[in-house]
Amino acid sequence: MAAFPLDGLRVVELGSLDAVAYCGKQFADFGAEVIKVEPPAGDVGRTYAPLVDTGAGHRESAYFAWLNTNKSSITADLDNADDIARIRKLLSTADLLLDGRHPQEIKASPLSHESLRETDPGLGITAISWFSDTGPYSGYHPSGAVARSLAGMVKLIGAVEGPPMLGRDGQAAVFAGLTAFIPSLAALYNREHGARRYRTNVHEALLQVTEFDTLNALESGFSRTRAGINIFGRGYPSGTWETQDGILGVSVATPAQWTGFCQIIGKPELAHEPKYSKSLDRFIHAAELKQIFTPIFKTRPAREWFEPASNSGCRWRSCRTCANCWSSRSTASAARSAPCGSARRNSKVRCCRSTCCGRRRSPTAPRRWPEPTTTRRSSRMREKPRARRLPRNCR
Amino acid sequence: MRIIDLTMGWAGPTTTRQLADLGADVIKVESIQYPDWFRGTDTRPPYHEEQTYEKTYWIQAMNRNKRGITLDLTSQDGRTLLKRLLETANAVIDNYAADVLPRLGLGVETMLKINPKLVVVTMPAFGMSGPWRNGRAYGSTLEQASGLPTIQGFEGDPPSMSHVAFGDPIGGLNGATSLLLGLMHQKNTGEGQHIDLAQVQCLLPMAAPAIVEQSATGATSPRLGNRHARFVPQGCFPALGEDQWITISVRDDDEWQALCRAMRRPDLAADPQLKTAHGRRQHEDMIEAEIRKWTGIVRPDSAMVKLQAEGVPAGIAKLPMDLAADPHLWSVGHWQAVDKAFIGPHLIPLAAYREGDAETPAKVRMLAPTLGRDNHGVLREVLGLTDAEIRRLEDTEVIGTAALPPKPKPKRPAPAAGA
Repeated sequence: MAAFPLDGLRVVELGSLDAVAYCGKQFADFGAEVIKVEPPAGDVGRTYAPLVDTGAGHRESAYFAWLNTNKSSITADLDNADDIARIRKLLSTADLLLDGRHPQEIKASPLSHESLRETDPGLGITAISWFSDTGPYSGYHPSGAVARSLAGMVKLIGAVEGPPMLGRDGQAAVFAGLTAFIPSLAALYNREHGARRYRTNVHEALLQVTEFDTLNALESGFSRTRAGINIFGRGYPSGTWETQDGILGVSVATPAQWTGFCQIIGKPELAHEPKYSKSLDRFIHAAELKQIFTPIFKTRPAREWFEPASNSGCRWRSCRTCANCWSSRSTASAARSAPCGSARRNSKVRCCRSTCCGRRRSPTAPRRWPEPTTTRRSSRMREKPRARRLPRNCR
Repeated sequence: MRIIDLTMGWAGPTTTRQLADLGADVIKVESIQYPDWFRGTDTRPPYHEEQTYEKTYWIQAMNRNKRGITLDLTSQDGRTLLKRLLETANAVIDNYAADVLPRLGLGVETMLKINPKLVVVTMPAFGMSGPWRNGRAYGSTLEQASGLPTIQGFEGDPPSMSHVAFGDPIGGLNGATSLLLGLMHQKNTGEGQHIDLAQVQCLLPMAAPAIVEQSATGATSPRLGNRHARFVPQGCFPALGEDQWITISVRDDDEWQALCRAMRRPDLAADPQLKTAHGRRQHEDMIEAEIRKWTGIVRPDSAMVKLQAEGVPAGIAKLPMDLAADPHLWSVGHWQAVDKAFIGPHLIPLAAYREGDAETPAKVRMLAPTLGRDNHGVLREVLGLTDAEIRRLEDTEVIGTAALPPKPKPKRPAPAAGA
């Protein structure tokens, strides 16, 4: 078996939070042993649609399965003294605790970070909450849509008259999970200098999206307004267009792209029209340009638009639905393996491309108690130096 | 830990920013011939006259905590110096289109030959192989290609995008993740490797709920607009004022009761048909109309505070610009006020995490480099060049601190993905 970059690490997940599950998934997919601690009745995420058969008449959430591939799972009642003692023992063998419990719950718990750091200074801890554990929003009741709204991701998106578009859930977990993963792994990289504790939150992780817009507004001294679906106040044309057989994504920004675009749609004269010359001009005249483009795009299939465009440097793509994303050559391998959680693994660090997938499935039902099987964390890392090289074709 | 940063724009620079925030020595390489295009895409006057390339807010935020040098990579001297830097580095990363560095004789194989321990991260839009490898993209193109717009928004609308350049921030996070995994492998084994990150695929996990549903059931459910599969009701409702909106999510039956209390609607609270999510789903239009009646006469701030006090998830739909004056963000230390040559006083955002018991994120140790700010320091300390050698490089315009007006039409390396 090929060595994974995180082989030998043990990570424990506490609390039911998708962002923690996604962070843990990064560790698990790249070789760490990740143990998810669920309440006795199982994580509530197991019950969310769509449900798939898991055997013996059970049905469980497919999304939960995707979030938790390559992990193992145990149950514990964190109000029960015996269970708390066993989790503490488990943590004493772990390198990192990923904590998704509410900050107030953590503070009040016998497994508080303070107490864990005291008895186990070698344990790394990363906590993810919805909002910062200080400040006016710290006690706020969250949802993905609420966090995105407060992070500035909602108001400028959607139809002019409103309502602003809330977007689909599932994005916040990815942003926050990765935001937590980066300092957590950096601390483990540097573990000779001691374990570290980090706290991050979904709300601030999302500010990494809107910092672009915030800084743009601060620099220009004014905020743009909501300009319409797929119109973002900068270049035009942008967005998604209906063709004869599907949707095409187009982004035109530079003068060269605009000239190329006009040629491709058979309207080279538009490129010489002063009122459409700059990005901002085209944005101002978006409505009349839309009238011109809409019927033209419908005259040909998406692929026929796509080929000449990709040769002219225009940024456009056939915009795939999930259904045809499924069958498209470029992402088929990623999409096809989604149920076993490998969409990302297959797609990302190529060295793991052929070996990660399906290493271990998502835990179907939480088990009661595993006895920790290996010795203490740091010794495992030191005793098992990786000398094996990945096969050439996996790179 | 040293990282040579050959990235521009947003996705690449935020990749290395993550590591710079954590203490790595990130050396950002630009050139006076082609500065980072986040310094401004319009190089017509007064770009050079007023040095506007030192005055954009974006460049300050995306490049905090880095050193910056200029090297003309189209010159032999520039390429030689870069190669010598690679000998001293743990990792190198670029986000040019797939063909750009190979054409300059700086392909991945060459870099790994120079330093076999290097972690080499490339992050073109569609990867270094495959039929789309030379495709150019912005962050918007990446979102379009991911399929994400097809699963959100309102039925009847075109597939609806999330952001002007959604591919960039998520590309930056995935880039940093890849870099760290490569460094971990380097630490464990002493080996370098090439990690090819196709930025388009970084967006697929965000479409995962629908991809998983498609693979499990053979179809995806219709788009729900602002409604939610489990939370009934959920929406973004107009509040008192011009273009003011408040987002409300009711996650369970208790929160429905709390919402009714906040709206002073005991009649709705008592309605047996509305006690469960299933029941409320049957009357969602009516419920939303009743919510609008209330939110329409309440300021968004008051509505949020009242709903939150009752236990209902609620948040103002804030403008990005509002975030610079958000009392919560100031109290948690998200913004740092700084002052700098050329640009003057301005705000920069800080990292989204805190270490230990710190109440605020770590402050910026080093402001973003002005063009070529650290030429002397890096070339002298890292490469051991003499003052005379450095002067010669300045004379021949291999390095410098002021952008040069473009000469007649050299080929410009185009950033691959996204902003």
